[in-house]
Amino acid sequence: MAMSPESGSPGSPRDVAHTLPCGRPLEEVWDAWEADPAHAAADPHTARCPHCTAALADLRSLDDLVRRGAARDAERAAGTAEPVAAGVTERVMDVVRTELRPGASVPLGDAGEDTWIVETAVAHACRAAAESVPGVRAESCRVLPLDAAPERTPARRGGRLPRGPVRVRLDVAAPLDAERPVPKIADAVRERVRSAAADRLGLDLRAVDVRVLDLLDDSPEGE
Amino acid sequence: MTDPHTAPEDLDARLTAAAARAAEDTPGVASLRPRPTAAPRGAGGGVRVRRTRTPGGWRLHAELRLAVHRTHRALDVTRAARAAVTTALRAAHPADADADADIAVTVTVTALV
Repeated sequence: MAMSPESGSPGSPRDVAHTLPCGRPLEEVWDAWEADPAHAAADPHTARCPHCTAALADLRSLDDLVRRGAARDAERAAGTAEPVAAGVTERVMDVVRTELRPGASVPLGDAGEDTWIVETAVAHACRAAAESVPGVRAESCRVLPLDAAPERTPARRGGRLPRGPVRVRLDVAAPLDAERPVPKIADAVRERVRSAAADRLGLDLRAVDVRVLDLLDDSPEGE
Repeated sequence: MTDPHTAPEDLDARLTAAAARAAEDTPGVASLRPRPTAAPRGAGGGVRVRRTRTPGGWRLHAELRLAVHRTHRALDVTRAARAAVTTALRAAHPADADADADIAVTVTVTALV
């Protein structure tokens, strides 16, 4: 089996695009709809194709959910100073990631169990855990077998990781903070991710590789 | 042929429905929809049951795709769902089949909601 070395751009999203049975990538239908819903629905292919029609119906129901979510958030945020848009966008992106790029299945539970969780769900939980450390912004997150070679991301599309312990490779942006040096922040991230994996998922996570790719200096002026 | 009372496709549908109901009733299971944007519908969404003849009787293999509530630990929910589905399939499989069915359940968590 030839294993091609990793090429420059890590995992282009198109690699794992979801293609409808009619041959159109779901992302394309999605993009067209986002650009102009009426125009997308009037597209001669889309109008006749049951797959595209169903996809558009799904998008509309998602749009509906988002709007209702936004209204709820707005209500909730009315009393507080919380930004509304961030919550909605984050939730939409979660759904989009899960929907279009479910990624590989990651083993959950003991070696003999036939239980799996999609990588995007794990990545989301890990990113959320990392961001519970004040000032940290989580970026890409991959789940790999524990013994995966460092700096190499195996190509897999919708496959399964071998059963066994895993490692998480997480890129973050850390706050520029004189009180908290970067290694200390990375330790805190690691700790949060570990306990989320154990307590919320039940994942056999043995290593968390944190890469700090950016330092954020957004301390409010005059503090 | 193997069961004088039930057409095989009816039995398959019944097994799938029983498995779906059991999974849906498991605490912590948000939905069986493999796709979060699809409208909720009756049984069968994220469940597939396959039945194969074995020398000793039948083998049933259920595949579940679940969205799990964040309030629950995902692994615990999958274990409870597997136990519930196994029990439901055992109950739904005709007792007059020559032997106990061998039941396997694959569970995949497709989303945390």
